[in-house]
Amino acid sequence: MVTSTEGVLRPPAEAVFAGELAALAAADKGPRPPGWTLSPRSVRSFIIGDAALKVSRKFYGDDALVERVIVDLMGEQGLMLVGEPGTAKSMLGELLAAAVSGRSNLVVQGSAGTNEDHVRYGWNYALLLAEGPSEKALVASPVLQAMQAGAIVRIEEITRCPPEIQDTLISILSEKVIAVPELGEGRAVFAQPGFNIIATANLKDRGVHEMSSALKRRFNFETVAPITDPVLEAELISGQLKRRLDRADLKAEMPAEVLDLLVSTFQDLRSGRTREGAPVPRPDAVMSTAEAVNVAHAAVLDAVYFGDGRVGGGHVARQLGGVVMKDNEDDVRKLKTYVDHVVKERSRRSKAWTEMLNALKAHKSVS
Amino acid sequence: MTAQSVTVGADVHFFPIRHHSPACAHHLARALAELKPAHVLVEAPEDFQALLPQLTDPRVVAPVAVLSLAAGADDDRGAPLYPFCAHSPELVALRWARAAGAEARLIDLPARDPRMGMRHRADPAGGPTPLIDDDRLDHNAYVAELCRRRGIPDGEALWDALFETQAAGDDWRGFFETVGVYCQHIRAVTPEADMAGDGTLDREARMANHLAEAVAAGGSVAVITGGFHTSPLQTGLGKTPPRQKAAKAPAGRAWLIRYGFRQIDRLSGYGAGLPHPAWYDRLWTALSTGEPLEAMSLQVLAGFSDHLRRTTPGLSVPTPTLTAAAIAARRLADLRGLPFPGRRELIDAVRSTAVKDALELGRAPVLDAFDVYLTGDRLGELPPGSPQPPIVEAIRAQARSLGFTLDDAARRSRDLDLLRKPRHADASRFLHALLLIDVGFASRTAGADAMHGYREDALFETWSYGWSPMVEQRLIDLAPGGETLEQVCAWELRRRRAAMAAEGRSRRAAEVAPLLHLAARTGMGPLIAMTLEWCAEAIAEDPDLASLVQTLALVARIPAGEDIAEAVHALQRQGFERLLVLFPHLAATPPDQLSGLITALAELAALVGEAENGEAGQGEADRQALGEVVGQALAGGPGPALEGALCAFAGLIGAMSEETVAARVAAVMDGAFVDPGQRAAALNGCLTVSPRLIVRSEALLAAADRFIGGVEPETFLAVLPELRLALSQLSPDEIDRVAQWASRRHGLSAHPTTAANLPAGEVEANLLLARDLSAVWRADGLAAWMEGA
Repeated sequence: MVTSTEGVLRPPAEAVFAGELAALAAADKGPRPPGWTLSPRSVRSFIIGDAALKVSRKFYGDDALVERVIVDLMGEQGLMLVGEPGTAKSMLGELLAAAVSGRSNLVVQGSAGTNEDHVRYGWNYALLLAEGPSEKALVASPVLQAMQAGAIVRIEEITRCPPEIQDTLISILSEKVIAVPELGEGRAVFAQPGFNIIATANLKDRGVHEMSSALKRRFNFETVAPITDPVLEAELISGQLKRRLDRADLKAEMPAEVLDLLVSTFQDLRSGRTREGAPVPRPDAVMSTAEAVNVAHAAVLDAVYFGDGRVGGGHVARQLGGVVMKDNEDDVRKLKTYVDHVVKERSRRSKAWTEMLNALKAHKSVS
Repeated sequence: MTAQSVTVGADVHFFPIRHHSPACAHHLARALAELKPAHVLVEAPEDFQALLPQLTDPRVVAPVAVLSLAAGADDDRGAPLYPFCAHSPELVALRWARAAGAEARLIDLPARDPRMGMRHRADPAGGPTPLIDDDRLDHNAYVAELCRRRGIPDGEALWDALFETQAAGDDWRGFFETVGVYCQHIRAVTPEADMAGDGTLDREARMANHLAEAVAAGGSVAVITGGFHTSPLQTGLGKTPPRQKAAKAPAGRAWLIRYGFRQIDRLSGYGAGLPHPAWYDRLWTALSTGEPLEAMSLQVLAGFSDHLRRTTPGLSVPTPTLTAAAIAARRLADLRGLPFPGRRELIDAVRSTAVKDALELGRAPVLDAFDVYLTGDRLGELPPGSPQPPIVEAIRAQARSLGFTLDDAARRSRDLDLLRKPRHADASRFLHALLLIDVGFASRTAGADAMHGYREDALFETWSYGWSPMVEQRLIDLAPGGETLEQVCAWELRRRRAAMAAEGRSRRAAEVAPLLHLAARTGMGPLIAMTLEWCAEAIAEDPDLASLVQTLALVARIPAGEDIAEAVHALQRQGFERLLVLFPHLAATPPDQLSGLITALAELAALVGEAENGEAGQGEADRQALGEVVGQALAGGPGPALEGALCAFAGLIGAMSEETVAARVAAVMDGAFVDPGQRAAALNGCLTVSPRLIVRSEALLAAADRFIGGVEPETFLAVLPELRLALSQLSPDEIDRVAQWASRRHGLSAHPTTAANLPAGEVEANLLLARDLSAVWRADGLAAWMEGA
């Protein structure tokens, strides 16, 4: 168990925002649901920000969604966050767990290899053989730990789990208990107040393992949509970028013009329509805000380590290629059309766009 | 910000309201009961004043609306309309005034004044434009900032959170003070030029005139206007307002009509009033009966669940989910700091708990159903004998003059002799127009159906008709469309086209052409001209040959009188020329549209044939042009089915000799395809377009015969479905002729006796079986069946 987050590559949300959580807890006068470390209103403030307490906004785009998910977590049902890839579902889950339970490290990563040990419990086989079944020999899964502690457990990419593992969750969600018959007749772990599950699923993964309707009934579904407001998206990207650069101790930033170029490009290609309303071809590649942050981050690193530190449209363009052009011929053609019509037109008025045009033209597959 | 007093001086009380707001209505009712003003001034067009006795009649059940119709033909201001719900503060005030004997006065400019309703976007289908407007209360910098700070999505939701959910209680002074401050701030961020430009200032000057008159008359005054207008009226009080004349307005006539929740909800899309009237009506009932609001809100959820169970069981919500929704709504209200769950909390709760899937584009069936439930479908009622809009009397008069009996509700039958009696032809057109607007007066039981090409030669029509209160009601509902049958029909046609446009179908000529048919049946020139124009637009843009051919077929069946013959002919020419443009690209037709296209080719061939009978000269040139483009289409490398069809088409229009057609189709059938079924597809395509060809053409028959004789048994099984499809185009008589030809070719007699080819033993066994069977049938009393055998 890692107790200190000093020198950790990516500390959990409760460590990053420890100061904000403490400030909220100190000012929190509202009633707290059993097992919660904050009141629902403070959880809301933690996620969408509170200027008076100097709490930053961490989730952008849909405040009503945040209110709904907080209320969902108070209920009997689990919370299922669905939406396109890169819409910050996992981040929202992590923030909720950090605010509600004070810890966000109880996570099950869903994959084809997820088995019952990850959802119920396993055994320390050396101890099991030496001493027989005992509580000491039992290895609790994150779900079991969360039940014991009355905390939130997160299950990422639930549709990637095999159906039988998904179904294990049905009884946990409805009975809130896991029986451990190996320890003796009638032995079971009952969930403490505050226990709940946040699961995430990607729309594009629907085909992997469709959830059973019995499992769906035990979750409240909330759809997280991509951010459509360019101002919000720019704010989010620059905030995330700053956090990443601070962690690496880099003194660099992205000029507003370049940030605007990045956001416009992503929004145009994601929605298939420019800000002016002209239709543009939509690539199949995922053009999420998370990808935009990655592009911004890589563009800054490129400018700092290989350039003069000034981030321009060219840096963004070189990274953009990697996002859009994975291995899809069609997407390459679509990007080329976008460059030929939209980027070229905009380059007449803006230096950043001109740099982008030149960099993309230099790229072999697009020019 | 200093709080603003609602009461100025001892005698004038200002009530800033929002239209259709139950919270405003509730507090207004308390205030009026307490203050008992002598004058009640309401922001509504002053020319509706004469309708007040009707509107406030206790027998009137809201929703109703006052509709203004043009007085002359030169007035193109459409049909401005002022809707009232039971929870409209204006109606509450006017009803109170009648009951209390106070003077009620409507103080806005007349409905048809050019400065009224300038802020309203007109309905694209030409529907009524609302005279109430809360657009400004929701869309401005002040409200946007408040929404941002409170994390509320829009101005309507903000209004709900600030005012509707705080409606309970007795403190009407505090309530209107808060509304006043809110609206004053909104006014402060609204540019003066906007208000001058859209007539707002002129309207307010007119209101100030009325207010000055009421004050001069003595007694206390209550001024009920949209909150946006309150502060200037208040500050202008006591000063002499500039005389604002209402002379520019063309005189109109106003009618009280019944209205519906659905229409009111739709008007809220234009910034008029609040959406979901059923919800606000329920809130109003709870407020006026003192029912606990929390209980009311949860009852709405339970009512929705019950409604789903009765109407759409497939969507119904299980009880645990309903419970979860109720709890979630309550907790959302807590989280948002509201005293009870409001409209938005209920919608959010249903969205969280009842939707078990990702929301695509923010929509889900159960959410749509909740939207419909909160909108409601109530219709208002007027007492019997209420004055009716002119359309009702216009149609009754026209019906009488055409010889229909309207004295009782009995259904009658009437035969119309269309060709010999002009009056009968007029009656038929009249009834067709009424069918178009669906008033339920008459239905046709016999006669020609030109649109579907059914019994086109029929000379008589038989109609069953009967006047009923339902007909009258439906006509009143249509009153916003105009006051003559022609206006209402035009309105209906525009509405249908707008509906098509909304679904992206208005550019499909085959969808638009039926509108022309409907218009042609009414015999009304302007309607025909309008729909002809729509058809021309659709034809110019339609990329689909099948749709164009359908259109041409429909247009050809229009019973064109001399007056429109020329225009119809021009449309046909345009369609034909569009065809010539599309033809060369046919090879690119996607496989799933092929069968439709081939059927269209068959239909087109028939059309070309008909056209030739009609006119000489032109037909020859057309055929040559068609032949040319068919050649281009064939050169484009079409698939076997299309190639067969195109060859047959070329044969039919004389662009290719029958021998060439047969040879080409035969060549395709001899070709190599991965899917052997494709070989027979050529024959199928050819026979779909020209079924008779195989009967006439020895060459084609021979090719088919060669093909069938030469294929492997497995291949034969593979092509069998296509082959059966191809030959099913023939009539029994033609099949017989083909069979005779085949038997001759293979050296069999024309009527082969089956026995000849069978071994003697088998024949004997069959005869014995036949004998046994007939014995059994006779024993069962089925001897009669044997007679024919």
